[in-house]
Amino acid sequence: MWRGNAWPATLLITGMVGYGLFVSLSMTTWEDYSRLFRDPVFLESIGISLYVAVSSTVLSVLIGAWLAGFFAKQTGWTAQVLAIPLFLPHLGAAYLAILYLSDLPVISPHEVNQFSIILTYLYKEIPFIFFYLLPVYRRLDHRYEELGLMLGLSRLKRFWHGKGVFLLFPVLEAAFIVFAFTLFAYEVPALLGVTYPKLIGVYTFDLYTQGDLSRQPEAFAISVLLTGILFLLLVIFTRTIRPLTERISKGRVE
Amino acid sequence: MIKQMTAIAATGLLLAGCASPAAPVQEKVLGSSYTSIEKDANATTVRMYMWGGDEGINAYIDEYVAPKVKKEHNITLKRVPIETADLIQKLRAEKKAGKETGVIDVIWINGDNFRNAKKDGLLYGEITKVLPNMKYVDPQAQGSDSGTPTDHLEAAWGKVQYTFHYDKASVANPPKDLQELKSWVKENPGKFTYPEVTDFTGNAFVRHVMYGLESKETLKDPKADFKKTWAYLNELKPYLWKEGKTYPKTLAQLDQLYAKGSVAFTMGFNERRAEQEVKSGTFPKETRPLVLTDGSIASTHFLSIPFNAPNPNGALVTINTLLSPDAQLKKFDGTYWGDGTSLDLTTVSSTEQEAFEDVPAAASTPKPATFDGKVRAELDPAFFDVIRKDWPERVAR
Repeated sequence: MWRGNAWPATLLITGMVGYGLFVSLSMTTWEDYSRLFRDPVFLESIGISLYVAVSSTVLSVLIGAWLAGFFAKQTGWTAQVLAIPLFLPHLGAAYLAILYLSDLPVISPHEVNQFSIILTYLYKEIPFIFFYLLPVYRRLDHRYEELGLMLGLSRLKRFWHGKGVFLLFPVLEAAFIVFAFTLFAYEVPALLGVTYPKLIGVYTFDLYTQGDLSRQPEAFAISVLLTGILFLLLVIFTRTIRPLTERISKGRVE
Repeated sequence: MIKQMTAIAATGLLLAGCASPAAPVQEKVLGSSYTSIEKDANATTVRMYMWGGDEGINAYIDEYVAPKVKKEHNITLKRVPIETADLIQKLRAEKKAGKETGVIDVIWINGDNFRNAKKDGLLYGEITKVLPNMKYVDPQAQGSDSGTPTDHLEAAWGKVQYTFHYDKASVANPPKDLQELKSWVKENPGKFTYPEVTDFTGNAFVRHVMYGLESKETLKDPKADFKKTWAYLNELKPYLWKEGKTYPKTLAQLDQLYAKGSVAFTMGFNERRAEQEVKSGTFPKETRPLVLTDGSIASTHFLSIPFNAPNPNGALVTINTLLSPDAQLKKFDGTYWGDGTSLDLTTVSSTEQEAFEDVPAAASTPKPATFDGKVRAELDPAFFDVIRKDWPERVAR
């Protein structure tokens, strides 16, 4: 794993997020948050965004992890093909969807089922998950599983002790990054989404820019809310799951 | 640790160091004579930020205006496409951050965007007072922008009427009013739609429905309940393109659907806008205009300069050039754009007047008499907001 100095990046990112959060909080009052929860358009938007973000995350993690597991045992250049989508920005991927999916039924852009958005995210995020997990898979020590076999552990237990504990945290890390991104992203849903309900990133941007700008506080409230929820998720991850997997992998707790 | 801190500080300095040289003082620019403004504008670069969703308009700027200002004033004109609402947002952020020298010199603006810009002090000042070509501009068009007094902050660039366009090959008997339009849509499911209301043109479509269905009293009160309008749009909805489950996000998307033949109608401000689209083969050959008897909203669009323009002299000269009779004539004829002139044609020379009259109208352009008795004034920007707020809940949902 990369062990370079993370301080400058950490400081810069914390500074930017912290300042953004501070500005957003100072622009909002309690009333804005309670108005959000009474706004049916917002609630539906958050619902549909969760549907898109959760499906994109789960599917890309499953497929990406499976591919990483498969290619970890292979040598050669085949896996590098998966790097191609990484060079294309999300905006470009969305245009690809418009170009190639427009005349197809069910998965064409601007359908209420949002399949085209999910497919675009899969196209972009599967390679991301793949390259994130590939080194983890390559470092896995197959002797753990052999040991399990020798000790007569069940298939499931062998997987958990041989691979699961080492994979759990990196998988959750990658999943968190994909989830946070797809939940609040703008370009892809702006190009491929439907008029109603709008995904939360698009709805927030509309509130922020449209008309007499009187609804800007609500846009700030949404971003505070989402940042808060994601931060909470992150804390739960690092506080509970990481110590757990570390303890297990060091063999202190069964 | 020290090393990293220095690196961060250096990055910060680098970012801060990008600021450009200060712009000339506003009082000095607007207080000087046009001749000296012209002299100061020589050999400068002007950045014009404008909505870029129409190829004809873009070509008019790039292929006609840019070479013209280069030749006449040695100005390099650069066009930057942007949504007008985003532009206002950018200027607001710059104002808040105290950025006194921005990057935008000329903006294209009207309606609620102008109201917002004026309210927040985002515009340069009384620019029209120094422009010699203002003497040609129609004072009526210049006076107010959708009910907001212009107060010399912007100069009228063009004047257009809202017009529908349809493909005669697939619409044999075009509807004459909103009721007939509804019947047509029901009989031809999937062949009609309008842009969603965050789009300038889509919002205006709803205002036309308001004009056609709501009483005069209701139309004076943006807080009224526009029941008839929402009911009408909901009746249309199941018969629209994609069963009304989604709408084109922008006029450009609606135009693409029309060009592909997915829908049989498109619409927009500017009665002549289909001319060059037909000529270039984008729109169907048999594109015809349609003005509903319920009325057509007249709209004026304007040019202005932001408060922190880096090159206000160049901006003033560019705007003055855009208001000249020859630039307006080129804008009016079908070569690029076909946009209605903002000039009062009685003030220009008789040869220029004749040239305007001699511009041929294509089959896609309505005869001037079509608008008799149908021209409606633009509604107050408060209506734009009401539509944006209520349409998603009461129609799109």
